[in-house]
Amino acid sequence: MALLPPEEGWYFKRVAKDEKMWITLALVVCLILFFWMIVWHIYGKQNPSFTTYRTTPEEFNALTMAFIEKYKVGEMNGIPVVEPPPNSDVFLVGKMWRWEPVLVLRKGQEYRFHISSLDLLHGFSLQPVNMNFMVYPGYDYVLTFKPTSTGEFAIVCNEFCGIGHHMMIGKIIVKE
Amino acid sequence: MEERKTEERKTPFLQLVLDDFMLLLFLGVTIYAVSYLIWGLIELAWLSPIPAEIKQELLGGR
Repeated sequence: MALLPPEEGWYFKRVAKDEKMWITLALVVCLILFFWMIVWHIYGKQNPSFTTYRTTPEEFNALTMAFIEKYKVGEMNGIPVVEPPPNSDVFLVGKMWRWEPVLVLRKGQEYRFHISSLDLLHGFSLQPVNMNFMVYPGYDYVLTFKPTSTGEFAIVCNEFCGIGHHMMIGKIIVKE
Repeated sequence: MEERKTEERKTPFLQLVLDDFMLLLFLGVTIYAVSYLIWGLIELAWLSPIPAEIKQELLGGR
């Protein structure tokens, strides 16, 4: 009868063997799942380490425009194409509804990506690699990328951001 | 015999906590408010701006 309080001193009664086993198994599963998060961080390339800086859309836009001006090599469908040197700071901005600029990178080289938004929350989803990050206005999200294969990779916005959300696709080109 | 046993043994502290539902309500709200909300706000408040070297490299004297 669950509506009535349990009898006095019920907590001193011995716990049955099967209940102890059940509690132990549940606890072991919880602990395994908890520590698995750390394993995924180290070996599964999930939840990457990052740095975040405070910025403003105006400041980040100015930095991105200066970055584009410095390393521009062409244009693709009206979006500037840049080829930054390896081990440098790369600026990528998301705004309704495009990713700017198109990046040309070298395989095996490291780049520090600075990603931010100029208007509202966007999602940075690198295809077909399983990498997804939230991109907020007012915060510069810094991640270290190292392209490991050549080809063209799409950046898809995976946070709904309005009527043009499905068209918000950027590009990263990786060369040898 | 059993009554004497329960008299001699004090109720375990954790059992007292679990028996107090108002305390449980308070803990349920406070623990998450502190560990998620307040910790998160503190982390956001401590964010630093973009380093000057990076800005200097791109914007120069601007």
